Amino acid sequence: MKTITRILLGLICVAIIFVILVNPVLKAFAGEGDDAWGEFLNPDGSINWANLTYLGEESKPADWMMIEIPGGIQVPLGEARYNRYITPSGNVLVLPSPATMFMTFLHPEDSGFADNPPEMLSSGSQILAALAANYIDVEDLQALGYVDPAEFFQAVIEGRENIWSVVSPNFLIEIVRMSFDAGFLVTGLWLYLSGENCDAIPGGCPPGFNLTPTPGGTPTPPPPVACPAPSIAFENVNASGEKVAPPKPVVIGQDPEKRGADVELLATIPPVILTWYEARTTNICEYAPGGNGGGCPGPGSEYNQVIDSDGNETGWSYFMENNSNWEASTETECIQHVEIFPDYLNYATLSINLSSESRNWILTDLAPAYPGADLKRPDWEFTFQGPGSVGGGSIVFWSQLIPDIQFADPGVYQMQVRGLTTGTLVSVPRPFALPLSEFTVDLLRVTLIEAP
Amino acid sequence: MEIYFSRQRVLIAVIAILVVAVATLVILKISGQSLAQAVGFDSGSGAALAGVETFYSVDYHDGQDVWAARLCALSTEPACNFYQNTVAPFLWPDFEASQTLVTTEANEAVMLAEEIASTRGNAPMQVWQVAVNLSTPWPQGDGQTSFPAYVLVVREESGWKFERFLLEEELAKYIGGKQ
Repeated sequence: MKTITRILLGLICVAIIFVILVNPVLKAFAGEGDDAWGEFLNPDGSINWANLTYLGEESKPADWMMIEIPGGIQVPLGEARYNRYITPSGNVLVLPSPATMFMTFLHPEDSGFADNPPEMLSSGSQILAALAANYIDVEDLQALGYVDPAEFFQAVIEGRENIWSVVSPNFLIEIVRMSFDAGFLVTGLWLYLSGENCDAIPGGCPPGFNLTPTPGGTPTPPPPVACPAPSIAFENVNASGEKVAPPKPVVIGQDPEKRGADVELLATIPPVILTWYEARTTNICEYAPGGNGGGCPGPGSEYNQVIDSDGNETGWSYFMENNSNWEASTETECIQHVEIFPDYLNYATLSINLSSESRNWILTDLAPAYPGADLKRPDWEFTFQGPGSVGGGSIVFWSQLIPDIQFADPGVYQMQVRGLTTGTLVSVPRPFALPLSEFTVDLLRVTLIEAP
Repeated sequence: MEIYFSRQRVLIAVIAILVVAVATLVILKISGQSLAQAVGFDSGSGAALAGVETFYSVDYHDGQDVWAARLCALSTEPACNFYQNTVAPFLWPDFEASQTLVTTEANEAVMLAEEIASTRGNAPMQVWQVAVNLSTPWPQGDGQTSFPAYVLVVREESGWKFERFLLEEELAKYIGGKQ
């Protein structure tokens, strides 16, 4: 199986988990208007990615991700991997990979999760139940006295049950595959509220956001929000389709070779472009010539720049504290980041329909001349799966030739393509519906002409 | 009865034999390559024994890629990805540092359970217990050279393939537990 096919299968698998188990919970929270969640959850429960700033992926080796194989050999199930976002109010949203999520809940103490649990929409047991939904032996579960899988997984987390007593043995490899293929589509969301201890957040606090005071240090006020909001941009999906051969197709009833017609369909999907801004603050201690400064309180390590009366950079000294000849200030620079995500084709459906004029013509004009003339198959539909391939500019190209379509009704055919993209890490799947060109299938008519 | 061979006929016969021999070698080589790329075993025990022997046999001269390729040749695809991308990069620095040379014998395969992988088109799965004997211990291991291994194999279109070793926590289900 090709890598991209595996990726798509993984995406579909996780999307199903999301739709069935996670999305209703998201919907409930969005509906309740919970402030922390509401700022990036739409009323329908979907995630408003435009309100999240992507901070990148964090990965690190982790002892609690190890498994032991015969011979006392420890091997890793993978690195602990997280994708991280920041919300408009400065909360950090973490999406662990499926394998990371799974191992975290199996080892809540070792992973540090138990000490600093984030806000979650679902409990750990519900998330484990969602991850393992297709791998649970229901009879085994019932034999142990459980009806609700989440109850069993709660017992697993508390160390009262052995997860492997009900889970299919191929689950472990599948969850690793899910992590490789599906990346970080939502199986569970961890939200770390602004002000949490930075050590609690996988990957720490994002730079520049100063979410929390350093224990024992000087509290740092959050930087003013000066940067533009993140934005997502994309161009519309394009599609073209035409009859490519033969030049003059005729209805198959009149063609001994039953040639029919060939139609070619092409779709181009422009990428999704995420632009976000990193607020990078610079703390400055500067000479105040008028003597009306507020001083530069220590520690000196707080200052990125110290500028003396000549405009030169210098070092911070204690005499600058409580000294009106010195003034502390903070400048915020917005660093623009642009990320491009190819959006693949999920499916495309081509409809080929005989025009209403041609239908009327067959039924009203043609029927008297050709007794029994009727519509045989005026409507055609073909559905194809993506994903297509990425070309220049991260545009996804997809094409399909449909050979020898056996048109039996003459007239003008109108084509339309509709479909759906796969969506990206930062955008939902995009539907599209586009009209395509028309073409004619001819009828050979015999006219008797009097011989000269 | 006397049989006469002309020199020309003898020459033609020799050339024909040579052509057939060369063609046979080429075909064997090609089929051997394709077998190496996707081996499926007729029996679950064959996949379990071969998987165990391939996994534990290490020659540091071969390098990580060769070891992983050998394992992938008899493993399911998701298992291959796991060994190739996660396990091999973790183990091989130690193999190279300690110049590991280990040969392995696996035998006494005993089937413990048969199950169905519903997420893989109801593919049959089997759990096998195998006795493992290493020529020398692995550098990452606990020093043992003889130990039992519990192996999951899955049947695909081309036959039975190695998937993974069961964890200790999983064994209760198969040993004295539900079978």
